[in-house]
Amino acid sequence: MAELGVAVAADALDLAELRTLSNRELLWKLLRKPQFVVCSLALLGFFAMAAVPTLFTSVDPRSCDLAQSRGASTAGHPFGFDVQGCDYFANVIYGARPSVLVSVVGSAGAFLLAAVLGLLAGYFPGIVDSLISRTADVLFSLPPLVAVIVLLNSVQDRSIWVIVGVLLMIGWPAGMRLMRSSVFSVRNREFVQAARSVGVPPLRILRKHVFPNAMAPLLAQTTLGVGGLVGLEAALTFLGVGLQPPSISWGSQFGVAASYRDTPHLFIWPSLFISTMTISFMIIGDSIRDALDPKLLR
Amino acid sequence: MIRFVVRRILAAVPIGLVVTLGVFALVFAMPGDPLRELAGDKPIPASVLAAKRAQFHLDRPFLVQYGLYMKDMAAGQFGSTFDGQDIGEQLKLRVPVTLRLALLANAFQWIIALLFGTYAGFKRNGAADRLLMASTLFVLAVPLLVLAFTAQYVLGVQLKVLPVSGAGAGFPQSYLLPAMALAVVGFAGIARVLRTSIVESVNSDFVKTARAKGLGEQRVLWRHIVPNAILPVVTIAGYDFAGIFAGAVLTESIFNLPGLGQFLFQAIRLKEGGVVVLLSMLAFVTFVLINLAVDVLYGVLDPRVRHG
Amino acid sequence: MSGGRPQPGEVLLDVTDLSVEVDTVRGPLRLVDGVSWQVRAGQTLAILGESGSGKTVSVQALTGILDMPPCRITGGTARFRGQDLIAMQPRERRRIVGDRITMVFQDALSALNPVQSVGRQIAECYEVHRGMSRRDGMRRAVEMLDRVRIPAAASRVSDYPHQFSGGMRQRVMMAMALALDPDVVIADEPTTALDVTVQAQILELIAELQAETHMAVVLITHDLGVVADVAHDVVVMYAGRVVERAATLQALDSPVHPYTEGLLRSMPSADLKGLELPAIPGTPPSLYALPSGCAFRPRCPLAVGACADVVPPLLHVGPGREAACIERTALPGVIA
Repeated sequence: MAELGVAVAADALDLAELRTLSNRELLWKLLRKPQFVVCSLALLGFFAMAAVPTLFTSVDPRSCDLAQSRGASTAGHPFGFDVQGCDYFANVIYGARPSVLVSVVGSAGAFLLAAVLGLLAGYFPGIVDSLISRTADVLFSLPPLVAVIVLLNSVQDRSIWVIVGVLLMIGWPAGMRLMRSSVFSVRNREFVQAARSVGVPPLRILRKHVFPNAMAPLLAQTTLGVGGLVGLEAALTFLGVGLQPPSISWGSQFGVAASYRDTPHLFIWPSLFISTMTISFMIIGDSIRDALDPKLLR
Repeated sequence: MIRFVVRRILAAVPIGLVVTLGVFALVFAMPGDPLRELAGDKPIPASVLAAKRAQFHLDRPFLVQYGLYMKDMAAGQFGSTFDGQDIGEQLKLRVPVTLRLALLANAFQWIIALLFGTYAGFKRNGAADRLLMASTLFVLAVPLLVLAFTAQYVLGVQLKVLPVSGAGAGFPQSYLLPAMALAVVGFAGIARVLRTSIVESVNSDFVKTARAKGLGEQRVLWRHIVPNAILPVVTIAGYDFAGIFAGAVLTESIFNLPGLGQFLFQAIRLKEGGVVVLLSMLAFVTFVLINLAVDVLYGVLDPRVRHG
Repeated sequence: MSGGRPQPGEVLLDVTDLSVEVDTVRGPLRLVDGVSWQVRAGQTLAILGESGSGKTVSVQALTGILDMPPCRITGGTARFRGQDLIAMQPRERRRIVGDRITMVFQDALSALNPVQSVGRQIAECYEVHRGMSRRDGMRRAVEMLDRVRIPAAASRVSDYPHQFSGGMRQRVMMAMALALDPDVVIADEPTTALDVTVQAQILELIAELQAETHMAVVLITHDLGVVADVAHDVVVMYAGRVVERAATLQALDSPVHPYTEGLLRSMPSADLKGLELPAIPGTPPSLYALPSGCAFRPRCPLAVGACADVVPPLLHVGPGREAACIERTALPGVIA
C-alpha cells in the first residue's frame, strides 16, 4: 500500500507544512488556544505571588494570635486561621515562593544538566559516554526517593536551594538518556556530517547543529515534569526532609493539616493553589507538545 | 533463555554492590552520632555506648562496616535495630504489608489502564478518549499528596466508608485507599502510552488486512491491534515498578501503613545504615527480577525479538 | 452465499458511479469521482494509474476497509452478484468481504500481523467464516501454503512473517486471500515491492490459481507491463476519474486517451533501443488544486482551449471502448 489512498497523502501534506512552524507561528498558534492563555495568566499570577507577596496581602503571615487557632474565615481573613492562629490567606500566599522556585529553577536546571550531559554522552562515544552512562545506570538503580531522602536528611539547614540541588543531582539520568538517544538519531544526519567535513569544531557543531535538532523531546518531557517537581518538593517537606519550620511552604502546610483532619480548610487552600499551579504547567506543556507534534493534530 | 537469565543476573551483581555501597556511604556520611541521638538528652555511660557501638560495628572503618553488614545479610543474620527490634521479625511483619499494597495498586492500575487506554485509542477523539485525556492530565498534574488527602477526607472522614489511615481494618479495607492513591499515577502513565500505541497500530497495514478478512471490530481490536500495541507498554512496566516503590515510601507515610517504605524512611532518619542497605538491596533485587521478567515476557509477546 | 458457484463469464462485481471524498483541514477533497467498472468470473481486470489516481481508495471504499472518517462515500453502488456492498450493514458486508471477496496487499511485511504466526493468520479465515476449530484451521493453512508453493509448508506454518523472504511473504498473503476459495480477489499492487523475477512468479501463480478456480481478479497496478501480461480488460484512472476503458489488447494496440498513449510510449521496448525514452511531461496534479476541465490538460499534447471548460465525460468510442477526451471521440483509425 505505497500510497494507502490519497487520504493519507492529503494529511501528509498538512503535516509537512506544520513541521516547518517558526517560533513566531508557534507562539501565535498557542495564543489562539484559550486554555493556554488562561494557564499562562494563572502562572503569571503565581510568579507575582512568589516575587512580591505583599501585592496580594498586607497581613504579616507570622503575626499570630493563639486564641484564633484553627478559626474559620472571618472578614479580612478569607481563609481563616492556622494552628498558631496566623492569617491563613497570607500564609498560603507566602507559601508560593518555594514551589515557584522549585518549578522554575528546578526544571530549567534539570533541562540544562540533562541536555549538556546527554549531548556529551551522545556525541562522544567511548570514555565520555561510558562515564556518564554508567553513572546514570547506578543512579537509576537506586531505589527512587531513597537517595534524595538520605542526602536531604544529612543536611542540617535545608534551604530551597539545597532541595533543588539534591533533586537535580539525583534526577538527571532520565532526561540525559532521552537527550542521548535523540542525539544518536541526529549525529549522523547529513547536515552534521556536512559541518564536520568542513572542519567546524565539535563544540560548535553540538551547539549550532545537534542541540537545536535534538532538544524537542527533552523539552516536552521537562514541561510535563514541572508539575511533578512541585509535588515532590511538597511531599519531601511533608515527610520532614524538605523545608524547615520557620519557612512557609505549601508542603509544610500539608504536614500540619495531616494532624488536624477535622479542620479541612487547612488542607483545602494549599491543595487548591498547588493543584492550580501544577495543572497550569501541565496544560501548557501539553499545548506546546501538541503544537510541535503534528501527528496528534489530525 | 537460561543463559540469558544467568547473564543478566551476573551483570546486575556489580551494580547492586555499587548501589548498596553508595547508599551506605551516604548514610555513613550523615553528620551526628545515631546512638547518642537515640538516647536523647539522657547521658549514657561510656561502657554501654562502647558495647552498643561494637554490636552495630560502628567502631569499625567504613568499608569493614559495609562488608560485615553484607556478610550478615548473606548469612540471613539481620540483627536488630538500634532500639532493639529484631529486623528479621520486622521484615516478616512488613513485607506482606508492602506486597499487598503494591499488588493491589498494580491490579488497579493495569486493569483500568488497559481497558481505558485501549478503547480511547481505538475510538480516538471519542467520548472515552476525551475523558481519558482530561482525567489523566488531572491525575498527572495534581500532586499525590493532594489526591491522597482528598480521598482520605472525602471517603474516610466525611463518608466514613474506608479507614482514614493505619492497617487496623485489615485487608482489603485498609489497603484500598492507599492502593488507589498509588495506582492513579501509574494508571495515567500506562493508559497514555497505550493510547498512543493503539492509535499508531490502528493505522497499520495489517489492520487493513484484518478488516479485509471480514473480521468483526472486536476481533480486529483484541486479536490484532492490542497484541501489537501492548509491546511498548510492557517495556515501561519495569520502570513503573520503581515508581511504585518510591510511591510506597510516601503513601505508607500518608496512610500510616507499617510497610517497608515506612521502615526505610524511619531507618534513614535514625541513620541505621544496616537497615537502609538491607532494604535498598531488597528493592534493587526486586527491581532486577521484575525487569528480567519483563524482558522474558517481551520475548514471548514479540517473535521478532525472540528470533532476533 | 447466494447463487452457488458463479458461472464462467458471470458479472461478479459491478461498480457504478462510485465517488469518495475525504475531509481535510481545508475542506472536502474528491478522491474518487464517478468511477465505474465490472469484472467477470474467470477474468482479470486491471486498474491502471499513478499514485494518487484513486485506484486504491476506490477498492478500499467498496470493501468497507477505508478509514471513514476522514473519508466518505458520496455516491455510487458496488454490486457483488446483485447485492450492493455499499448500502449494506457492516455486519452483512463482513460475510462477503473476507469470504467471497478477498484482498492481497502490496507490502506483505507490513500487511501481515508481525506477532502472529502465518498459520494462525490463515487459520483465522476458516475459524471466523467457516466456524472451524483452530486445529482444523491450522491443518487447512498447511494445505494452502503448499498450494501457493511454499516449500516445507508443514514446518513453516508456525513461522512468523519476518522469517520469510519478500516473495514468500507475498505467497503467504495469497494463501490467506485464497483460503476460502473466493469469487473475487482484489490484488492491490501485489508485485510492486518485489524483484522482477519474483514478480513474474507471483503473477504466474495468480494466473494458475485463476485457471483452477475461475475466480475474478481485480489487479491494481501502475505497471503497464503487468497489465499487458495478465489482464483481460483495463481501466485507466487519472486524478480520481476513469479516463479510458478497453480490452487490454485493444488498449495496447490503439490507445485513445492521450494519457494512455503517453503511458504506452514511455514503456521500454526492444524497438526503441538506443533512443531516449519519451516520458509524459509534468507531474500528477495535486488534488488540492486540480486544473479546471480535464485534469490531464496541463500535461496533454492535444490540449485545446475547450479542455479547460468542462470535465470531459467518458464517451463511447468504439465497441466495448470508452475514453474521456473531447479531442478523441472515436478510435484513432476512424479519425485518420
